Amino acid sequence: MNYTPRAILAFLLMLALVVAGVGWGAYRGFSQDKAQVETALGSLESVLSTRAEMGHNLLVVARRHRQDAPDVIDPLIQAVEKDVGELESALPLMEKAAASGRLSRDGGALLDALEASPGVQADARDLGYVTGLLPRGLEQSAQWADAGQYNKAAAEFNNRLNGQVNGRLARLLGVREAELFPPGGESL
Amino acid sequence: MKRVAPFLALILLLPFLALSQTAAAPSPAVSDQAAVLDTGLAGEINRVSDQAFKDVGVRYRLVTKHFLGGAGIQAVADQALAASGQPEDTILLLVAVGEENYAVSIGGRATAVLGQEQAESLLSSRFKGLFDRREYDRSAAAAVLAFNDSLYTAKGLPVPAGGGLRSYAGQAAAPSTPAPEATQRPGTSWLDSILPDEETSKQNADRYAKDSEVAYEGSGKGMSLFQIALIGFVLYKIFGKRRSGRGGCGPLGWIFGTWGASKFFGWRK
Repeated sequence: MNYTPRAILAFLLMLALVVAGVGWGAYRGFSQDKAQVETALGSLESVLSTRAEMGHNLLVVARRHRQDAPDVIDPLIQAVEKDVGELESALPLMEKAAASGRLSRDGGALLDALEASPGVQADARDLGYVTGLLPRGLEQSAQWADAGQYNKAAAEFNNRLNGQVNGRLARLLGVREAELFPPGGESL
Repeated sequence: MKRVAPFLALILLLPFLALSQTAAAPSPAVSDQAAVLDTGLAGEINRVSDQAFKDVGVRYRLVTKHFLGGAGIQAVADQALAASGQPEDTILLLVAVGEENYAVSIGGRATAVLGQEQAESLLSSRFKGLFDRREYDRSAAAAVLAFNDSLYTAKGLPVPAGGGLRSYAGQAAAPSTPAPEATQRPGTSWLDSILPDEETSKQNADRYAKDSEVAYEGSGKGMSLFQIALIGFVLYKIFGKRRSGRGGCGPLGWIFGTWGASKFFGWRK
C-alpha cells in the first residue's frame, strides 16, 4: 500500500490544527489582557466622580465670595462649573479625563484668586478652606485619578500586542490596541 | 477537672459575650467630622441621648461635615441615618459647616413622637440663628435640647434639667471659626469631612490602582521553562534522532529549539 498521500494529508491536518491552536490561544490570551485593561479604564471612571465632588466643594466657597472680585472670580467659577459638568456628564472617558486635567488648572487658579480676595482674607474659616482643605482635596483626588497608571498598563499591553508573533496573530484575529490618554491628560 | 471545666467554659464564652456587647452598643451620638465641637459637648450629647432613649425611646445623632461634594444635604442625612445603628429610633441632625446648611432626618418610630415639620420648625427657631453666627457648640446644644424638651413634653414626662447641655446652649461665646486644617478628631479623616462617602471614594481609588496593576502585569499565562523543556524533550522523542542513531538533533537541540520558538511566539510567562 502507498501511504504517502495519507501521510501528507495527516501532516497538513496536523499543521492546520497547530496553527489553529496557536491562533486561538493567542486570541484568547490577548482578549483577556485587553479586558483587564478595559476594566482598569472603567475603574478610572468611578474615581473621576470624586474629582467632581471636590470641584463642587470649591464652588461652594467661590460662590460665597464671587462679589469680592467678580471680574476675576466669575470667569474662573464658570470654567470650574464647566469642568465639573463635563465630569458628571455622559461624555466618553477620554474627554472626562481631559476635563479632570482642566479642573486641576482652573481649580488652582480659582483658589489663588480666592486667597487674594479681601472677603476670604477677612474670613478665617474660608481662608482655612482655601489654603488648606480644598487644595488638599483637589490634590488627593488628582492622585487617585492619575491617568498615568492606566496609560502604563495600556502601553504595556500595546507593546506585547505589537512586539510578539502571538500578539500580531491576535491582531489579525481582531484584538485592537488599547486606547491611551493623550500626554497632556496624564497629569490630571 | 470538674473544677476547671466552668472556668474553661467561661473563657470560651467571653469572646461571644464581648461580641454581643459590641453588637448591641449604639454608635456614638456625635460624629464631629468637621471637628468644630467641644469634646465635652459631645460627651454631654451622648449622655442626654442615652437618657432620652431610656425615657422616650428616641436617640439623637449629630453629624458635622465641612462639605458634601455636591450631594443633596437631605439625601446625605437620610443615608447617615440609615447607616446609624438604630435608624428607626433616631433623630439625626447633619450640619455642613462649609456649606452653611443643615438637615434633619428622623427614623420611622421616632417620627411618631416628633414629626419632620415640627423638627424643622424647632431648628429654625432655636438652632439656625446660632448656626448662622457660627456658634457651633451653642447651636448644637440648643438643637438637641429643643428636640429633647419637645419629646419629653409630647410624652407627658417632666423635662430633664440637662445641666451640662443647657450651660453649653446658654454660653454666649465669640463666634467659633476654627481653622479647618488644624482640626481633626480621632477616628475620622479629613476626607470624611469633605466627601459625602469617603469609604466608597477610597475603595474606588484602590480598585483603580489594583486594576491598573493587574492590567500592567497581564494575565501572566504562558509556559514555564520546565514546561518548555518538557515539550522539547517530547518532541525529541517523537521526531528526534533516527533509530540508527544517525542524523537529526539530540535532546538539547530540541529543548533549545523549543525555547527559541517560545521566545519568538511569546509563549513564555
